[in-house]
Amino acid sequence: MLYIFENMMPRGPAETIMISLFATAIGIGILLAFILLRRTLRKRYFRNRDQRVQFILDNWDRIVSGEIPAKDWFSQKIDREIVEQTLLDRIAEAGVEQILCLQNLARESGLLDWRIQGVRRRKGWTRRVSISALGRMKLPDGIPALSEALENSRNETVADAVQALGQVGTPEAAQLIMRQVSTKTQQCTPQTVQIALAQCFRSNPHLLLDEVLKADDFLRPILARVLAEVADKRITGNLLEIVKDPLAEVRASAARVLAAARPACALNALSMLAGDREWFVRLRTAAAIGELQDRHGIPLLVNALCDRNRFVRLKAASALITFRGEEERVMQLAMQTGDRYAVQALVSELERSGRLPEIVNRLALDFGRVATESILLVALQNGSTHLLADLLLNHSERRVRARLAGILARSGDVSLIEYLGRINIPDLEMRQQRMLRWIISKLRKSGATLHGNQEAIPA
Amino acid sequence: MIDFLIFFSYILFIYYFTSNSVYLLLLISSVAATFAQHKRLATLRFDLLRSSNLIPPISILVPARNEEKSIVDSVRSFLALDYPELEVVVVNDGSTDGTLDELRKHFNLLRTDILYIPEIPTQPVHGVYMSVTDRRLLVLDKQSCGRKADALNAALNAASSPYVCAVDADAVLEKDALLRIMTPALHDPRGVIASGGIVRIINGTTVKDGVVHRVSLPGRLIEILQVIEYLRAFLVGRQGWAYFNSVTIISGAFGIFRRDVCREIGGFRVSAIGEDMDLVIRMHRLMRDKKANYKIAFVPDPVCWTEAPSSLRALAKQRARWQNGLADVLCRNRDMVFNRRYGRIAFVALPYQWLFEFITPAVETLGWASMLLAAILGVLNPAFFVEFLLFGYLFGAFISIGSLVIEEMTYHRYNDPKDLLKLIAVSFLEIMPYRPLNSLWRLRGMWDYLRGRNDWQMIDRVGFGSGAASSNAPAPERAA
Repeated sequence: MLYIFENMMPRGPAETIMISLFATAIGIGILLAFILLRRTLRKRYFRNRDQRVQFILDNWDRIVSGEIPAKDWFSQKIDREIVEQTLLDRIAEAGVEQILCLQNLARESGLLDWRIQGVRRRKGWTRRVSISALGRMKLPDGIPALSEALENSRNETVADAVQALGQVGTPEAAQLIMRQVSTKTQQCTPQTVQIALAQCFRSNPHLLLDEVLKADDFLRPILARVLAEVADKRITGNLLEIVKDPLAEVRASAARVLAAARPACALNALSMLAGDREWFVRLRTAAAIGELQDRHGIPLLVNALCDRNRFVRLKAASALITFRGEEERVMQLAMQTGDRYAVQALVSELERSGRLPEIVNRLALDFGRVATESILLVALQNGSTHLLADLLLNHSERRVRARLAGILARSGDVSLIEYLGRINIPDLEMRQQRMLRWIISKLRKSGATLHGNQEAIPA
Repeated sequence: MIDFLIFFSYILFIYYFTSNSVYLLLLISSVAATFAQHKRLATLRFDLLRSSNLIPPISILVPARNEEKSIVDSVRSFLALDYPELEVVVVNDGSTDGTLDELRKHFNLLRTDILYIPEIPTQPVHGVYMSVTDRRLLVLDKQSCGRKADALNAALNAASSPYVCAVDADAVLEKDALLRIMTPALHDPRGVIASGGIVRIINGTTVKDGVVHRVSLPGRLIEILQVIEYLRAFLVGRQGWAYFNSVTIISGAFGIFRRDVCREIGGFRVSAIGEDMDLVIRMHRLMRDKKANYKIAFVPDPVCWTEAPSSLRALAKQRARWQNGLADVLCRNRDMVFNRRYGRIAFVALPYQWLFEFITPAVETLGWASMLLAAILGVLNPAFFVEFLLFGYLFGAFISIGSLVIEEMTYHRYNDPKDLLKLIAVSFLEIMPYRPLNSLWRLRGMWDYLRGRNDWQMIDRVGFGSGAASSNAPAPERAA
């Protein structure tokens, strides 16, 4: 066995160790020298850079106006980098008028041409940096170079070019992005494409609808998703066509588009989508009806509350509670469905959204008290005991506390006796103790039974 | 006997030589990966992502047990993260202190009965609370079974986003940490099923309102040693393994996972002590069984700051528990080793874990014992012994300084030159005497595992920020 080891290390362990020892010691020396040297150089570099940054910022207006000619700073690498960085940051924040001035600086100083050359001639990382900078200049002059970068075989470069074209944000740039996606090489993720296209179409969303209608099955869902993001009232085309699209992703996006574009036919179209076979289309439809805030859509949402998919039910509930002033009607319609889970989803959403405490606050008013009480009673019978008990004990208004106590006392819910009984009464203030004892005695007197709960909501 | 000792010394020699070669390979690959990542960052436009509705939402899962002193700061920092759409699900895991009261007070929590469907079975959830001031916060009050995994499962049940981010309740995430950790998933949404970020030690750093204000080294030697250890584990170990797409652990203190995959494997295994490593290994198993094309990524720039034990006793407990957890995960998944179905995980990553993580403490201790025996028998070559020790010592320092180089070249968190000098000096102390101590603690962990002791032990913490903390330890991070 030892023979094997000796063959493995012909120099012997001692010599091998010695060689390794020296190599390691030299390695440590090199690493330490590298760290210390780098620190020293960085310190010097940043001291110099800070001075130049200060100078350039102090003279920024003179640089933009051309008073300080470009040749003064362009040939110095550090100055050029600082000017470019400042320029790109300011373009990102600039308004319409300022941006022209800044873009003019990019053109006339030669920065634009320099970056175009960078995209065309450089390779790898430096090319990617040029692509990114060219995009941030938001100049259509960069489109031909970026279009060449789209042909690159490296995914990262293509993704950068797509992002950059998105920042240029013109219809021409959008066409190039769409053409790249159509090649189906999937060199960049759908998110990258969608963010870029959203930037291109945000100011002209109506142009995108035509593109969606023309696109093939591969591109259409991507474009439809973008349309859903950028849609607004300017979209007036044939939206019904995308509502009837064979692809579920497109139909789901169509629901969102309808909510944003608000055409006259929106509710009719959404009622078609509400019965879609795909759950996520129904889910988007429920959300869209909520956004539309058309009271005629409430029955559709109540139907969605009984959907076979849990997420659709939850979305419908969250849409329903956005209809302010309709709580009683919504609650009644939900009760009429006879679906216990539907009502529970609705009550849960009232709690989750913080609407229930708002409804409790309404008890302070005399107007609409009956409706408020009936909503709270349903909430109480569907699991909002904790929240209502919390408000009963801690609400700032005495009148609200008293009226809430009255609702609890009249609820006839035996589980409420148990729940209130579990609260440690000696820990409470005197007024809270009195109120709890009163509610418990009232509930006992009314001969509370479990039936109270079951009668209120049919199983 | 003498022949056996010579034979054993050869075995030891080859073992150390191989392990050091692997570390060297990891160091080189992590330098390459760091360069690649640094270049990637130069062209990434976080401002576009930050304002986009096209980014998938994330649920942050925060298991909290007796965290009253740090929970408010932590939750504030989570809610203040730069991410278009997120929810924070805090699980009060049977705290006996005022964790829930603190949350109630600062976030105006109201107890509700909103639907909670335990798709993954957990201990009973006594109450669900929502915040009136911030709708993105949901708090579950759960009965504890003494397992972080159970709390994470409860949070997983309540989470509604396609991605979940498991974090420790005493952790502070940097503002753009979520955007950064999501970059692999955004780049390859179908392929990337999990992604890990770097965990750094918060001791010594100034935290205000859940935000890291000034980064500096802790004052105590034991804490600085851990800073080095974490840098090496993440910047060299994790990054190196990610380069070969063979990450076997994503820290439980900070990592994102695809929720559907998590649920498909039944969530975190409750009986696991190293539940984070266990989850990742089971994810590998599932995806390889399905012959799916997938990736588990590591990104070194999203930072999670977490508190490290500041006493030897607490550290010993933590390391013993990590070793116990490692033993548990490796033994449970021993069928994967050298099984062709599991590819490079079976042939590289898991054997590495067995050989150079799991049995290392035993080998090191045996090594010391054999040297002692050889000295007693008079066959120890003192010159060779000293050379061997010196090599081991210097090589360990070399790898640690290598991680400092990566840190210097890229993320540069410790700016103060005094901090840098301290880190360099402590890199030399880490191998001796810290490492032999660490081996003893880990041996204790192996012993605990053999005895079947797998209870989750609390570790006392000093705390950071506006209060002091006492919390669960961060999830296992084994040094490279």
